[in-house]
Amino acid sequence: MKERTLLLGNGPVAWGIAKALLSGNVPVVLVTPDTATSVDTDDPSPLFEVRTETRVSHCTGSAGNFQVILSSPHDTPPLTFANIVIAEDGIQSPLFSLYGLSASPTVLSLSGIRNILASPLASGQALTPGKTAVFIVGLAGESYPHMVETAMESCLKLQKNLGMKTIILTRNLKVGASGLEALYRQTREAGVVYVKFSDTLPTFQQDVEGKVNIAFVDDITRMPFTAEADITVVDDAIAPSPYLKDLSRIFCLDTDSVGYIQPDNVHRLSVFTNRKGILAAGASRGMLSPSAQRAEIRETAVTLFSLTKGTLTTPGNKAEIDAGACVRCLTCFRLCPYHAITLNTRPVVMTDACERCGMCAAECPAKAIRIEDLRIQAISERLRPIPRRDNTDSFTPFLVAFCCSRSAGRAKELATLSGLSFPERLSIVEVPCSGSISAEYLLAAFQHQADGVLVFTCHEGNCHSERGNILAARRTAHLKNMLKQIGIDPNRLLLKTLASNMAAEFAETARKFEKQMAEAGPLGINL
Amino acid sequence: MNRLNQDLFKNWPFDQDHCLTCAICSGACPVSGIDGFDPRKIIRMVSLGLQSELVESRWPWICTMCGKCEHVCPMGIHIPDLMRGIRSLRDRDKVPGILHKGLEAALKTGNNLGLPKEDFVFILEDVADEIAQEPGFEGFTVSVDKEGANILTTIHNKLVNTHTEDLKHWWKIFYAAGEDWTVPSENWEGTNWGMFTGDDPAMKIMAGRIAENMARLKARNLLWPE
Amino acid sequence: MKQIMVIGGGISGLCAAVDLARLGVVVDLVENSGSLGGHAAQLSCKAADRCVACGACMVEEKIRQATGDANIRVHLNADVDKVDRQKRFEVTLKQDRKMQHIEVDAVLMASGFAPFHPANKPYGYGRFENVMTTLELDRMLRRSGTVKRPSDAAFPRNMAFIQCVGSRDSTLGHLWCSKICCGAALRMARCIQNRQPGMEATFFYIDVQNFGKNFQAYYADTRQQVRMIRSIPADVLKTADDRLNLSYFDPDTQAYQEAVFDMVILSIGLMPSESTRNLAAMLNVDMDGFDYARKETVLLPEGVFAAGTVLEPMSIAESVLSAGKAASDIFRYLETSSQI
Repeated sequence: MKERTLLLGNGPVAWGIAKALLSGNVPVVLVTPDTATSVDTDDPSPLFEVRTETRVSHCTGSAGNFQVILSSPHDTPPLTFANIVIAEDGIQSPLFSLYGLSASPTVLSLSGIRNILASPLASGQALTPGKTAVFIVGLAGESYPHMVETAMESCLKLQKNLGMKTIILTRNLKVGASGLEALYRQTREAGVVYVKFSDTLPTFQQDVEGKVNIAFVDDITRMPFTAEADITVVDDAIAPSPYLKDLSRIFCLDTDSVGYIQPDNVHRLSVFTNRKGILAAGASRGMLSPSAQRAEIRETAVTLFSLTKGTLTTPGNKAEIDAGACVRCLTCFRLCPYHAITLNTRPVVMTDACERCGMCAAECPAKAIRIEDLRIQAISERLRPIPRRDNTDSFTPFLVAFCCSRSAGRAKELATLSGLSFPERLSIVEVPCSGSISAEYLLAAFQHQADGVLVFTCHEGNCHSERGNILAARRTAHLKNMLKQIGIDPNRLLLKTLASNMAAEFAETARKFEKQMAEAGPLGINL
Repeated sequence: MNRLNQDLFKNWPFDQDHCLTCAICSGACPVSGIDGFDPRKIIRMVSLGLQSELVESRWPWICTMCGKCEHVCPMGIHIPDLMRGIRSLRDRDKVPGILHKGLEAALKTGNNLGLPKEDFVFILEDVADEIAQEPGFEGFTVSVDKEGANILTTIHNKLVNTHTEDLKHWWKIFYAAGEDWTVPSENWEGTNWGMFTGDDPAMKIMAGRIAENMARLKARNLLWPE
Repeated sequence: MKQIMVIGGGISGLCAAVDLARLGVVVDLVENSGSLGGHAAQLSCKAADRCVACGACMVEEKIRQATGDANIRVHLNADVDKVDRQKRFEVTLKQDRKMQHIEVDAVLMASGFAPFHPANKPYGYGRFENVMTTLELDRMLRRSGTVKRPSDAAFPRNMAFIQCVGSRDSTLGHLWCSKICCGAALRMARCIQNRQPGMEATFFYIDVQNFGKNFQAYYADTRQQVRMIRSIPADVLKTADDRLNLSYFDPDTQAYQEAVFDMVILSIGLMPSESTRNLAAMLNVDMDGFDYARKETVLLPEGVFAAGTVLEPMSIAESVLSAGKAASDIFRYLETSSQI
């Protein structure tokens, strides 16, 4: 029997995921603040439970064992879940006010006109032959292919079935989805007029009868036009549900710049968050088209099955906190990007959730945290200087490169495969994440007679631990200052960001650095 | 825009509705920008049904019919045909310049100048005589209405009017190549101002006469440089 | 034991293989070239001062996961020679002239796309060295980290990007938008500007398509750094000093305009590939269903699935999602089909 999943949401994506999980015999508890479900649960499986009027208020624990406190009008004891899926719908709001318009029977949203046209009694006075409908799609801001599709299909119906004139006002016409170019052609053949704007915009004036007078200069002919819209349709802005703000706080989830609970980080594709065992699907993780959201349902299911099978666990030594040395500053608790540290009067690492980024160990002011193979002693053992070639009398610097395994580690592999050359005396110390590269490591390298030290991290925004590279950069900058103060050339320490596919840059950076260090001469620290 | 009647051009078979406003046509057009003309603009005006504006405008008449626009158009819109279509909508007395008058003369007499047959042949023979006096071209003659020749060639009216000297260049090449060529004495006009003015029936007549000449004189190849 | 074959070792094939392997399915991953990664593995990182989430680096990670998974058997330089459908699929693989028979319960078509070859476009491709496609530019960036003019190895001071080459073109029978080219070109332009400061980029387009998570913000920022001209050039000719003269219609002045560039980059579109055609025939799948212009998903026979750009143009992130969806469908099929 697979372990229980908490599912947050009440839209088609959430219900689709519920169905998919149940068919895989995963028990699901669907929780929503809404007063009623959007779908009739006529034949509920024994594995399925639905709680309406319920919100999440608190969560502790980690993947496999989340303790969640729910709040609702009824008495709800805390529940334990193996995994959590957040699949809240987004908010769509028509952009009437952006154009100085207000909703009325003849000034509609895109979904409004679609619903009217979908019902067999498609009517209303304004929907009569000869009348004009104007669609505003992606004018003040960029639109989306699925909205353009709705607009085009609606216009097609209005032109062909209802004998109306239709005009679409847009900026960049979004045809980047299947079938849209062909649909565009169909609409043109049916007589739909497109007005594309680049630097100018039309003006809108809504009168008391709900007609909208539009004036603009056509970009192509440079002729001024006016149009009186009997029906005006305005597209929607899409935003994340405000509930996500609470959920991000409660579950300690990173968000992107718009507010979705998945940062713009390729390591999170498709439905991962920064926390193991918590997935974000559909309009909770980003602006997705309806068809992408449908695909997301299955992707989420498959990811969740892998989670429950345990095949997504990171192997290796995990972080351990020495209770005796810990001063309870809570730095590690606040810093951990995976929220893998819990407070049990003192910080304790939840082993399964730990991803070995090493940030906690590197930042702990009391040096109370260790990851066995990333201890300074272990690292130091990897810092034995590479001997010089015998037949050389010119100075060949000994270099140490600390490499994040995901970026530079892979780039180095690629560089080797491509036959690129590296400095002769380059020693590579690969660590799981640059977040573990402490000042101690860097100093140890110099202590072991390195003439120059390189730090390779992921680009900003590309770190699996979200912030490991930022911390590494900060520490490196700080150490460079310190080196300067003690009379060591700070340029002997260099940080470079790169990605796993940047083999050429890896090799070139190392070679260039070697040349620089050769010119700088031996560092001459002998301890 | 409510009053625009897009149906005006609905049945025109030139695919103008497929335009995605990429402006490649206008980029390729050698006369883009002249007096505000560009082909994309015309296509758009057709799509919008701005018939009177198009018919009255000088823009469709700036087009040189070079066809570069159609060649590069990703939607394969038949732009020169579209231009001609618009030209055809104008009253004939409003056709610019001498184009229609010349066409009328051609329909009536077989050539834009209204040049009678005897005068035409006289001019040809006169030029031939001049060539024959040049060293290396002794015995040069121009063959008129010869049957069964390898090449039958049309003549641009200016070559028997203001630019008779230009006849000599290629006549000399024919001579040097030993080519078997001829010129028809009637309906010899190579320009087709029916094509320029969007007058399809007239265009057909003019082209048809050349075809008739080919059949009548049983020439093997037609050289139609205009 | 559930066993499937994934045909195509690009990002979609890799993701699907890894997803299914993690669920206990044995996967034969078949790739006709000598290495995994498909087109994504030819792309360069597009980070400027920070990652732009293009996804190109993900393929390296997926290759590592796939080659490290005991449930995945990788077959390189292998082609599907024949497929016999009895109760299961009996697939004959041809690898280095040797034949191998493998029996599987389901097949995933992940054979990707073919890039458009712009030979017949009036842009001088193939004649002028400094005219290249976005894919070739990507490869150059990936291989050397910098962009240099092929003719004289100089850094280009200005570059023109021409969009929609081979897409949105009914004369070619390509009535679709290839979707990813706007993002690829704009990100590439900014990446090059970051590495080679002072490079001026001009972007010739029809309609800019969305890309990335926050397109609006990125696009607004990009317009400050890249000159955007809403018009597609008509001709590219070489100048006497080995530069490229591009003629276009200037939408602002509404007149014919010429501009000279050090390099011209053609944003080529995606199209269905020949290998897909052959594969479809062997699997009894209607090839018309793979026409990028149509909207409906292709109808596939039972046990046959498809993911990624074999279906339609899509980004790397979308390919990952497509593969996940296919993996889920396959997993469900394997569980419910009576063959096993």
